[in-house]
Amino acid sequence: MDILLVEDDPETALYVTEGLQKLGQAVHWATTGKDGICQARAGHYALMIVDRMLPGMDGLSMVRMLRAESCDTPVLMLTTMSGLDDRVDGLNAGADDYLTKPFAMSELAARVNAIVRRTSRNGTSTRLKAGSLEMDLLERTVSREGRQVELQPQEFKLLEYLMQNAGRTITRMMLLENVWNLDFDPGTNIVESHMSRLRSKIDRGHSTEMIHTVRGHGYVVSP
Amino acid sequence: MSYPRRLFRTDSFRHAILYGGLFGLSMAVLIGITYVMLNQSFKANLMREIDDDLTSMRTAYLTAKPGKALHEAAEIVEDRLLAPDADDVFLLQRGRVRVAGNLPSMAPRLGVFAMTVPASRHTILGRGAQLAPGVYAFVGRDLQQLKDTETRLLRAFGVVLLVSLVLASLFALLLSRSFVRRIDTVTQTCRGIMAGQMSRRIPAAEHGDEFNRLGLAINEMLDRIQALMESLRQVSTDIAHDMRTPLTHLRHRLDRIRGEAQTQDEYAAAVDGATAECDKLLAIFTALLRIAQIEAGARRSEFRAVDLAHVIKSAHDIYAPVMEDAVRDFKVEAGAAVAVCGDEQLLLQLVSNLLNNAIAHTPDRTDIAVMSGMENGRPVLIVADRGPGIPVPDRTKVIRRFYRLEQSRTQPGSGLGLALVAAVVELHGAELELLDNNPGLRVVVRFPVSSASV
Repeated sequence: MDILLVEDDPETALYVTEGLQKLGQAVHWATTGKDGICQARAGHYALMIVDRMLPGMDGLSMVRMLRAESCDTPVLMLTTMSGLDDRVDGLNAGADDYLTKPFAMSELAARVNAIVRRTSRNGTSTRLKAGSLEMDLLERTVSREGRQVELQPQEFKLLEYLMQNAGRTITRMMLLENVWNLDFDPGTNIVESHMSRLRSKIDRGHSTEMIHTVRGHGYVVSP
Repeated sequence: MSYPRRLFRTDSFRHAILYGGLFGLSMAVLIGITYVMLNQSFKANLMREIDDDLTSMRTAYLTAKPGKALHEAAEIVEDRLLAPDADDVFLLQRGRVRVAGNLPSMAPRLGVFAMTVPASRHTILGRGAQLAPGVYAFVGRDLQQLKDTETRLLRAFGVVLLVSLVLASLFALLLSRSFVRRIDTVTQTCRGIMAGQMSRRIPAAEHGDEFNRLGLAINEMLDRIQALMESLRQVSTDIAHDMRTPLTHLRHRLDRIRGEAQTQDEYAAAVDGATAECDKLLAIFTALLRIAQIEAGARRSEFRAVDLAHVIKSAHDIYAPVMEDAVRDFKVEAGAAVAVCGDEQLLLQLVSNLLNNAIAHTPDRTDIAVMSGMENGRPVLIVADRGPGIPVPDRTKVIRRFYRLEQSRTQPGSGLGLALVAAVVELHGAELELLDNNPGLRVVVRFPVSSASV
């Protein structure tokens, strides 16, 4: 998978490039917004990672311009921690996700995977399946090996997000943003508490766990 | 620029001079009109007297006994010339021979005309008439007195005009000087503040003119700026102080890794520990930046109608499992929808921070409640617990950044939770009260009345 990285800070660029290369991705590096646009027009990238602050044309303008040219390559935007509204601005400009510096490689990798998967998924299926777990999005029901599992609305939302990204690690922050719509980290063990309830419900009476903890990184549902 | 030049270049000086000039001009026009009107009415009066005299001469001449006619007319002239008022000029002549009067005989000229007496160079205005064939009469008035009066009047007007212009100029100078002086004090104060004397203020009376009011407004602005700078300085000091502890911990940890770790696993565990310390530091920075941004007020443009009941229901959904795990008795009392104008995420974070505090500072099995509703017509949001509470003298201090009560120093936390709550409250124009819940802490956020009508 080819990824275009538009980042003016060599330190960050090196960190991202090395990290993604270890995961088997090919990373192309541009240092300015203009260069980024040229490369985006020339090549076929599966994803663009764009720093918000760039010399000359900034990341927001760059994404806006590409979107205006109806370029639909998914974009993950990076920013230094500053703006309360940065996330909203970034998403409004046409970015698909937003990540604040400094970030852990595992967080970036998880988001890259989620974006690529989300954008490549064609059609909107009303049923999700992961291993022996099945979810009906219209009926709002979940079953494991054919047996119905009763879930609270919050638990359903949590499982839905995990199952949409089955096989991929989902970080704590991604859950807070996508399941509870929080743009801040409440700082307590909210995710852990909800997760333990969800786990006990879907794993009850089964010998294998469906949701695994990836230590220090997040959670993953077996595909 | 030199002081005198600055005096002349003030706006007030220019205005005063302009008004002085306009005053002079209008006065000159007034004088002109008065002069012309006076002159005309005076001359009209003279002509009436002259015509009266002529008429009485004519009457005397025509009604006299035959042979006595010229004599009767001459008598009238003689009588009139006896009067000491010597403006009157008469001439009665038959043919070219003067019968009576104080003018030399002349070629008869009829109608109204003015002439100059060669001897005195006085101008005379009068009317000549034929009383009978060959009998000519002229009655006139010496205009010298009128001329003298006019000259005196014009001179007086001139003096008044000159004096008023001088007064206007003086007034302009005085006004300008007072203006320049007051501006100078403001300038000096500004220079002083720029030089670092932050406490300097512009002298201004409480109930003064517009200048004083401007001074008061500037002083208020300076007070606010000074307070902000003071709080900024305080924050920088606090940050420097509070960052040192975790950074020192981090350093010690790294030192220990270098000295003690032997195996791969030990290294990995130590690096994980160091990473966690870094994350804590970053979380503090994030919280500080968020507080700063909330205080800057930029988020106010995103305000919408938010239902407080919905906010606390969300808080309940998020926190119910956490409270259960923490063995707290968590209740949510959301009544009817209560609309406030605000930012839902920030209000949720406010509740979240208060709940985090409630969990962190109370023992197991404590009641914790969140409520929303109306109180005295104002929307309120309440987070209450039955824990140990906060002693009265500490209640104002806990809102400060990094302030932590002695007994909670050892517990995890950044000391920024309530500071963020206070910032969100301030942004919403609401009031924050930390009350006694007998026992426990009762945090009440009162929103402004107008906020509910959105």
